[in-house]
Amino acid sequence: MSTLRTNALEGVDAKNSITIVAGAGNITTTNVQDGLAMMFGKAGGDAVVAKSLNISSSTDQGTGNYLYAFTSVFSDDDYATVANAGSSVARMCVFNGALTTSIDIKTFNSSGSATDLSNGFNVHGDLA
Amino acid sequence: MATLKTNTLTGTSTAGSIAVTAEGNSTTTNLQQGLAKGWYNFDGYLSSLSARDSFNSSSLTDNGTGNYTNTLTNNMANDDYAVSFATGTHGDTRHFHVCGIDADSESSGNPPTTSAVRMQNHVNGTSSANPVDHDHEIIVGNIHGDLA
Repeated sequence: MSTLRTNALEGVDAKNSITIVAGAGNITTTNVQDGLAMMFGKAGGDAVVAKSLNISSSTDQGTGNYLYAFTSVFSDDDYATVANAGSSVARMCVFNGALTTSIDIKTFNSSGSATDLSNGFNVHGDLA
Repeated sequence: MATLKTNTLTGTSTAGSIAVTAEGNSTTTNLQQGLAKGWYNFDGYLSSLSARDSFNSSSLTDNGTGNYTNTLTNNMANDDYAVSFATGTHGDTRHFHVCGIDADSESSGNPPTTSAVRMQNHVNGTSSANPVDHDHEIIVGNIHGDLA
């Protein structure tokens, strides 16, 4: 058993790239930075954020429409987002727009009408 | 190229906090915060549920059509974690497939607890637009937040 104690990790050859052995066969490696969620959140239907990473502010833009601004921006808008709405009956949460500085999501009821709902989401991609 | 060999990583100032330089070579993100604390992939159509694969999931419970509970191996610190889902059903031509937390609010229904997430799955009905409860063949979830 060995324990490395440190406050920060950065790659040697490239500061932004650290490889970690991850495969079941103890051979395959994956990239630490690429595998980390760079943003996540859980918010109520009023856009009040209960738990988050890399969110500086949230805005209620109208019924079922929320904007979450990033603390640290992304290098481009090609990041991957998944989001869902909380409800015991069928509801949908869709990704309405992506900027390097924020994401915009919408929540709907089963008839397709915008509805205020709690929502959860996470983002994987590259920080600037 | 340098290789560091260790079994465990622990923060120096705070055991549960290590900064990692991100892709842009300047901004840092937090290693522990960025790690998924749980994920699972299972077939909700089976009469006896078991995960195809999972992380930090101790059991799956079938509560009725389209309604399942994923129980965690290691509990979360609180119930304010973020959960996201995806669903799919092979050969089903209906286009509205959805999985959500089985709650209308933090106090209504079955909101997440520190030890479990309960989810409800729906598909659009065959004769009307109203969605109905449904056992999806593919249900995927992931969890981000703070472990206890």
